[in-house]
Amino acid sequence: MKPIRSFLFLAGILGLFLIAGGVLEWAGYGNFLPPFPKEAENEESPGLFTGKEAGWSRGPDRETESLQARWAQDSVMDFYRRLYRLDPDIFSDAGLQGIPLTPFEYDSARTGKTLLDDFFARLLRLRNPAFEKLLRQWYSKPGFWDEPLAGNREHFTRILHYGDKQIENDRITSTLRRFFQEDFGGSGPGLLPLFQARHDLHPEISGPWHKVESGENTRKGNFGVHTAYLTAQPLDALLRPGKTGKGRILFPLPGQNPERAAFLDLIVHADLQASDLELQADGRPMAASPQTLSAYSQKRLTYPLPPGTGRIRLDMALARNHALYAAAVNDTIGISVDNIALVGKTASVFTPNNRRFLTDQFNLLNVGLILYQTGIEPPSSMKGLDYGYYRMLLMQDLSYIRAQMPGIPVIVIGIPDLPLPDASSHARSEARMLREIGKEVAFQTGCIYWDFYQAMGGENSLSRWAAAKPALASASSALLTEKGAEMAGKLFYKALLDAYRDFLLRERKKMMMERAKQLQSISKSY
Amino acid sequence: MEFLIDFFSYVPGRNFLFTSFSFWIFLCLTLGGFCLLYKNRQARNTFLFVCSLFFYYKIGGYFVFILLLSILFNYGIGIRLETCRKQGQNGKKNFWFAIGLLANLFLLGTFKYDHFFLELWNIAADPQFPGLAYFSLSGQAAFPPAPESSLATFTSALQGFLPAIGISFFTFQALSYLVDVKRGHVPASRNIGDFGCYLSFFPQLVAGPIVRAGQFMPQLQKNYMLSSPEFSRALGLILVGLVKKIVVADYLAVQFTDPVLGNPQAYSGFENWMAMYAFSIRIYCDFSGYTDIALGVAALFDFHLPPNFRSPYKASSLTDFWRRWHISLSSWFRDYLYIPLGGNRHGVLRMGFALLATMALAGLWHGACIGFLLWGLLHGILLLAEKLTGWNRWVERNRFARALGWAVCFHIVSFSWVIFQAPTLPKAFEVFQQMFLPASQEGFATVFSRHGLPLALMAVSAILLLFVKERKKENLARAFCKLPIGWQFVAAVLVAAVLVGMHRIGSPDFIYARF
Repeated sequence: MKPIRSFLFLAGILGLFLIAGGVLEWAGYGNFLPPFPKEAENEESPGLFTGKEAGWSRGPDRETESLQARWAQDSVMDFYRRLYRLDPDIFSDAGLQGIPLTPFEYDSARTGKTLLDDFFARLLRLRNPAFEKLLRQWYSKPGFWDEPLAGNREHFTRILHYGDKQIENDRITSTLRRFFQEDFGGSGPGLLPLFQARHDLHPEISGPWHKVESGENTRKGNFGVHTAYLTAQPLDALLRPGKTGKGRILFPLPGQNPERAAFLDLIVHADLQASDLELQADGRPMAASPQTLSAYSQKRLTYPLPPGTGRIRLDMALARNHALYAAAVNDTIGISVDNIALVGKTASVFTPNNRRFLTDQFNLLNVGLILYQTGIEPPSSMKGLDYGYYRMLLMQDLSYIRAQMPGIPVIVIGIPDLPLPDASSHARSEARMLREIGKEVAFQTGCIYWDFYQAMGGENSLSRWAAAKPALASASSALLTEKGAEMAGKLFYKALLDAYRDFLLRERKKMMMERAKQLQSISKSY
Repeated sequence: MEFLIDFFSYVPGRNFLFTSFSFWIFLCLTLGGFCLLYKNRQARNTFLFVCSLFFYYKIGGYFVFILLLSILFNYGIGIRLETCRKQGQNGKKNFWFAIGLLANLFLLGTFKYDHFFLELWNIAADPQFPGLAYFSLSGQAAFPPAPESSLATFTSALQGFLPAIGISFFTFQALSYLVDVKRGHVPASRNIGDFGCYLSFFPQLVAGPIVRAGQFMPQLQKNYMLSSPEFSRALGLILVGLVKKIVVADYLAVQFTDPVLGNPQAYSGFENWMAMYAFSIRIYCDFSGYTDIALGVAALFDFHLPPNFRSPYKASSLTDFWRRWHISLSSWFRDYLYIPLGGNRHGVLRMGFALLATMALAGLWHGACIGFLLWGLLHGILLLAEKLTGWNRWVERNRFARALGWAVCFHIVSFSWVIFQAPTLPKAFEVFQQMFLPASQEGFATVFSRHGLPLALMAVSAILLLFVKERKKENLARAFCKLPIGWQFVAAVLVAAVLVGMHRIGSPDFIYARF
């Protein structure tokens, strides 16, 4: 038998299908063939919003029309439309008009996307507390809604924005905070800057405090979210194990909204008692017995703040193991967005911490999302342009936090356009290399990546930003101005909102498809 | 014109396997070219080689260069091995064999297992030293490519597509070729077109069966002599394979096993049990369906590949099961790993070590993750237990013993499939938890009302797989072959129409194509 027979046999079958498909399409019954590759990509996925049916595409018939009418009247479908609303007016889109979209990028295994979807499910719960039970059933991964610490806040989440000089003085973070709290609730500036310079929230620290900080040669320790903490002088604590004096911190809180509730959260060592603290809000003493949530070696003390508090005074008895890791002003529901600018700590934010300690502190703080803005300055331990070393540090830091808090998504914000006074190709490739390393490591550790460089506008965008009126950046140092930081915050929030909308759309489609199948099977049984 | 450009270009994620329309157009074109060249063996083999490379390019993109590298390298090593063997230079022969072995394993380890080793290292070393990712851009810092160079494009193109599809299959074929040449069982190929055709032959490139050089290379030297009954048999195999894959495997996957096993806690204990059985049927129909299509397509070119399955779910012991399931892989491991490690000729301890090592590696062959390793080890431990207790001989005594053996074997295999298919171990344990300590329980009537069609399909498939004798299947195949060509054409069109309709529901990829 000659092979021409096999060829003609197969060609006959394919030809028959092609002709039949063409004839049916011409007759108005649509093409039943599996779409050719290009068509498959262009095909609109069937949706209940567009009125097109899944699978076969043919003109509407009576049965389809009655089904569509049923869907429109069904209360469950209506509920899904309301729960997963996508209307622009429910988000703070007015402030994002004209802002271009640079979407997030995900690793090929979509680990980051899955984690971000989980975070969005929590945001959905924040916006719809009335549907708590339903959301728990629908997003029912084991342990998903469980708080690691019993009694912890269920309707509050914290976003930690780590960065360096780029975000000093609450730049970028303040814009994100405003948008997040407008859309999802919450109040307060979040973590107070114990160690970073902030022109708006600069604390006055006095007394025999001793700052313990992670550094190049320190071993792993209990440094906490700021990679540093305040405690008693070690020699004093050794020689006088009783109380060694008092340390004082004055926190100014300008611009507090008197209509929104606020609480002071202190993350302290487990040995510190409430009686070791004296707190005053605007000169008036605060509650002596705060709400306490304990972890293994630390705890969270929560004090309600009177509305519109403008100043907090904290006096702490300093002794051995009396350590203050963090202080935050926020609500107990909604979102807090915290600015942690760590200059000189590029790629060594999490690794200095002991595992259990870091995990406990993140749980006490209800951390739900981490923004990791990779440095425009190299790590202090890096000698020259050692890309391998930079890559190793970054990999260590990100894989560490991913391993310790696997449920928290991490969004790595790439390096922006850098100043290139000589515009040589060698300097360009260095910046490109750093960016690519950041992206590569982000994907390898299951993080999400946001390309700040692309968002700014790509090559030479820094000079365009610097030349804008008003200037958005400094041409010589790549630092953003206030306006530039606001623009950067808007660009990022636009990307996040786009991802959130995509999540809502997918979820709505999935739920409505299932309901549509139920309705279809009900209608067939009659 | 646009269609042609699109057909000849690679798009990541686009299906070009046996369930896509594009593949059948490709096959038709390949047959057309084959018709023109089949009389000249050299031209025929080279043409098939080029078509296979195109096929691999369509499914794996730039990984076709990895395949080419493997072909060239193993071709050269094969020639060196034969030269050394003929000249009696055993030392040099072993040296070249070691080079070939290490290079192939390096290829496999680099493109398939790098993340697995990195994961293990990071678990052990508390990520202090992150593994160096090959093709890492920081590794290029010493010799930075120009930003738009082909190297930069090439490496960045590779970044997104790991691991290379089908790499386990063609690497194992290459290894078996080198071993057979070293032992003198087959002569080294002196024609790059022939060797390339052997290593990259597209019907079995992506998901097997793993073909030995001794089985395939002689066929490259013989003339095309396909008879009508053989053509009908090939057609029958293709149709049966497509029905198994699309009607049974895909339907069960989309409608039943994926939803239940993906979220076991949302379903009752009974549903989880049924999903476990359904997955056993699904994975068999998926894999054997693919193999049937591969055998049928290869047969159209008059190449006869070895069968890969022999009613595995009729096995009465695990030993018997592994003689019936994925025969090409199990025989590969038996001949090239288990027996060289000592087999059962050097005492119980050595046999135990050889068996466990073989099965552990067989598990890892399927995928670079702890779950597959545990799956392989589980089978290894149970196989060893069978050998030590003589269970596999006891179950052959009488009908009752065979029935008992069958029940035990089937359930062991089905339970181990739960571990095999779970994306993570905790997910597998969730399924077991729901099966044995269900949070909710529902009656058969309730479950049937919800999953009637998949359960019915499962029941029918189970009857066909377990109770229809081989002789009956052979008789049906013979009856189909005796039909006039016109009726065969009608049957093919009808089956294809049903498959097209079902395919639009949604078609998951072949499970074994991931390996």
